[in-house]
Amino acid sequence: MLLRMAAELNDTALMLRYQDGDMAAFETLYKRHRGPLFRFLLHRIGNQQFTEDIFQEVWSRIIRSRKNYRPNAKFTTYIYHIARNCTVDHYRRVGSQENVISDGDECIAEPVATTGNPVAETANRDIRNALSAALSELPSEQREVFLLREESGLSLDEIATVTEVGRETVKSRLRYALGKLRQCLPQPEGAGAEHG
Amino acid sequence: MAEKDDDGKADMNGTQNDKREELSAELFEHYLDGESSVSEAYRELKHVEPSAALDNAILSEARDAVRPNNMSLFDLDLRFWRHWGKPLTTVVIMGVCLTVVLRVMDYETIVPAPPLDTELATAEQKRTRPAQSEPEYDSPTEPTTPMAAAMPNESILEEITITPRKRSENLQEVPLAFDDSWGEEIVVTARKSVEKARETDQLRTDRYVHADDALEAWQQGARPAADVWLAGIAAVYSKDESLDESNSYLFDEPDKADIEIAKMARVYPEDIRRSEERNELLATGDAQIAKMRDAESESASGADSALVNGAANPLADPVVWAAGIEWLYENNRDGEAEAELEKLKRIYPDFALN
Repeated sequence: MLLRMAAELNDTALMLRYQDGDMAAFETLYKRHRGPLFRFLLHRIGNQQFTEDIFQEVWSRIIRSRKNYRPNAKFTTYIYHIARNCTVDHYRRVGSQENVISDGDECIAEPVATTGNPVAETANRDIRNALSAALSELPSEQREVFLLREESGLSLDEIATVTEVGRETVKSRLRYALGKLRQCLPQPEGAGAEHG
Repeated sequence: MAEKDDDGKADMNGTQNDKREELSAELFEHYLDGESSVSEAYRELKHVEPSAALDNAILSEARDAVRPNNMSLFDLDLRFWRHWGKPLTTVVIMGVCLTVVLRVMDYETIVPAPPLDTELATAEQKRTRPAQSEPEYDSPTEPTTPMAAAMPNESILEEITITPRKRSENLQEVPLAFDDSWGEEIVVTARKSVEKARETDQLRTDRYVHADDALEAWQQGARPAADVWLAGIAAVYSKDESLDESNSYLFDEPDKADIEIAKMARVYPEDIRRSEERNELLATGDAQIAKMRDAESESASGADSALVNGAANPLADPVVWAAGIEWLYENNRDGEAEAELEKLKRIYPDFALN
């Protein structure tokens, strides 16, 4: 927790330094958030081209609005709030969310590394494919909450702030999402009945 | 029996649901603590990241946005005010407060002048009063000058009270009155007229000045104090019989006193503003000076006449000055009288006091 607070303080300090023209501070900030933000958008939208466009739009908004940035909230909350708004704008332009999340597995279904054991690799790949598919099939709100939790590390309250819903709603969505994702994973012995 | 079986099955299902809820809640807590198989599986998915081209595009945009030559004036202002806004605001507020306090303190040191209506009425009454002997002047307990007689003693003192700051302001205003073009013009004209008067043996050196030396001394501060000058003017106005016959030229030319008022208005505008009959006297004095200056421009003899008569001369008339010094002596202000006398001697070294 303390480490996270320190990191957020650093994020805020970096953003304030960038306000004053410190480009190195922005580069640090960008390297820190580029991966998680990109994955959040990619899993959220499911289309590489759209994701790149929105990813660039998010950072452009941060750059343009740097003068107005006030360290009232965590930078992570700030940036994911912008990302969510951009996503909403994107959906308004192209149509409903479910219509565009059709190729969500195009970039996340590949294995990370080989272990030298073909059987194990096959099993792992199956798990990843199944998880990826399950993730893409989640309702948009549940997927959003799950991705915010996984990629940004925000707390339930902070996710509630970003998504502009109540904490219990976030908690409920996350529990449903976990339950559905857990179904595609191999069940530990004796726990299959509980997880359905 | 069947009913019992149904109840038993329902109880079993409810218990299983409760257990499932408890386990789900437990797993959820584990998930929030980061101990979840779902999270582990998610992390093993391919860690896709933005392309290098996208990184470069965003970093380039960020760099351009803060490049100094691209910074707008608004950016500079924003940075300036962010750093210096509070200190500058504090300084300005302190300055305003200090100014207000100083102004209030300054006004408290200046005794307010009597109401203008009363002042003018008193002056008008004095001006229209026929020439008569004023026995009050002989009384040792009463003010001995006409102005002092016309007003309570305190009012005279109030009228001439000048704070050091006010006096310095007046001194600063003096050069504007005559040190510039008018003063230089007077010096040149005075020098010519003195030389001409000497040639024709018409110059009374006891009353008129050596122009250059006198003006220089005047600029250095050798001028009558405002109260002395006023008292002298008042004495002239009253046709004070204590003045001897040698000064009677003033009585023959009553405009002289008005001219002195006009001169004093240029040197001590604040003090003359509070003096009696200011509007009329200033108008009369200015008209006199304008008349004399016209005469200067019309003919050399006119200029000489103006200078010899003292109309265009910015210096205080020695007779008026001497009357003011006498007023100081009569009010037991010997030290000030001596100082005034020294100044008078610097301007009019040949002037003979009675």
